[in-house]
Amino acid sequence: MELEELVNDERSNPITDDDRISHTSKMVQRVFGVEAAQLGTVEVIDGKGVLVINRNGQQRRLRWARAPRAHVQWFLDDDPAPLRLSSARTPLIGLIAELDS
Amino acid sequence: MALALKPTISVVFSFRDNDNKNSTMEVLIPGATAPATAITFATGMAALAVPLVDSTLTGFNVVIGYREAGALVIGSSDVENKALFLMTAANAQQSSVTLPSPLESILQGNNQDIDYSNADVSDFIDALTLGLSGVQPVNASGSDLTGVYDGYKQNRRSHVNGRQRKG
Repeated sequence: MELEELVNDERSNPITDDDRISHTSKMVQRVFGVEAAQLGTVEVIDGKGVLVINRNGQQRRLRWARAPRAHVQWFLDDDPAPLRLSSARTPLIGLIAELDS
Repeated sequence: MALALKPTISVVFSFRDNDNKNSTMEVLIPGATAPATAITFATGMAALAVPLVDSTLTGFNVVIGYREAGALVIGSSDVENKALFLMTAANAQQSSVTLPSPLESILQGNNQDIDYSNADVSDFIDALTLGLSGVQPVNASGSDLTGVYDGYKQNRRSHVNGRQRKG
């Protein structure tokens, strides 16, 4: 198989849903310091890895994306404004405060 | 003399521009990665790099080299311009990944800094820092790449076919 064919075969979907789930699980672990499974379940929604959290009888969706300057921003549900986790003592404490607010 | 297995496998992607200059991007993965898995990783990584550049991917090497001859080149490409990604790793050491001839569309408004909010760039960085096809790229020490702390376009001299340029 020629290189171009190899690349074109991969280009259609080089990042699989399994990759998306793995990415979000790793990102949650790195940023919040806990396994994603301790907070909820990671699912692929609209092509993105999303952490679905059940808390206080509500199902919440935690998404992430990279800002232009490379840092990762977190978003809750459909809110277009990123969470401000840096003001909390730890990102996890900040996340829990946001979930409970 | 005792030969020892290197801790990493080097995956080197080659790019060519319209001046027939060549440049490379190198990504390291763990030495214990099975060759077939490494090739799967390399083809996926290539697919993520191609949308970011207007140079032509001419080949990659993973244990066994693979080369493509006579690939078309794009007129505006220039592999002496690189997208330089400065990476952090789990062992706190820093390393870099360079991608030859980046498209202007992946740069921020200052035409210098990489725009990480670009979907193609984000996917590319996700693959480098979070893995692809179950393979997590590493630095030269074998430590996982965990993040990118800066990225910008830089001009570095490259090699010209038939008359090698150093530096």
